[in-house]
Amino acid sequence: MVRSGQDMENRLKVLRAERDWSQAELAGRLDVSRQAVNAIETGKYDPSLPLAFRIARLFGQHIEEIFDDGHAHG
Amino acid sequence: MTDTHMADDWGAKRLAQRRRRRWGIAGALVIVAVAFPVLVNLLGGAHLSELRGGATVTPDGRTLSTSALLTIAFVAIVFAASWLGWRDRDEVERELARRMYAAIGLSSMALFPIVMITAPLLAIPYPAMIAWLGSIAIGGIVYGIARLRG
Repeated sequence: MVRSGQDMENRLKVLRAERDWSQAELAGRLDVSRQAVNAIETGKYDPSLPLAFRIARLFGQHIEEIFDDGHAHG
Repeated sequence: MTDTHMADDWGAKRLAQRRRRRWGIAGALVIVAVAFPVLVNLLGGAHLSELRGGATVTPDGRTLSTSALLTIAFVAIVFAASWLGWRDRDEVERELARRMYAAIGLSSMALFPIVMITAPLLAIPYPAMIAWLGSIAIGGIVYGIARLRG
């Protein structure tokens, strides 16, 4: 797919599973393709800031609670 | 209607709706592509071989003009459909498309001079068309591999 990730990790799959949503369901709610959801979940693609915000709003969380670049402040 | 009243699978339904719309556009494009040479033959009077080769034109100026207008209309339709398709794509799909177009452009830069120089030696017919099709094919392969890896 599109390898743009820089060791970014995310909890998208976990959050999706908690709501019992399929990738297609999440993709439809975010208005992206299922391939996009899969690429983000597997870390092959880092979403743009606008899409990251859409994801955060959908799950009612802050961006940094979903995405982790490994440099979180302690 | 509020979110609470919406079906639990409204996201999947929206995705399916978008998929149907895309297939509709793709189907319309295929119909236009198939109908184009038929229309040119019927209305333009130019034979397909003449359009492909580009070397010969119909002796009738009016006929050539009709063919040219049809060709411009065809290109415009393809361009408009491509633009609509681009707007409908998400950022991951656009990134894939950008890589495909980059592969087409880069391979064209290499293929074009090579094919043009070797064409007389190897008796390659329509070298420009061969180079163009080769670049398109390479772009398609790059896109296909990226999709399969995804």
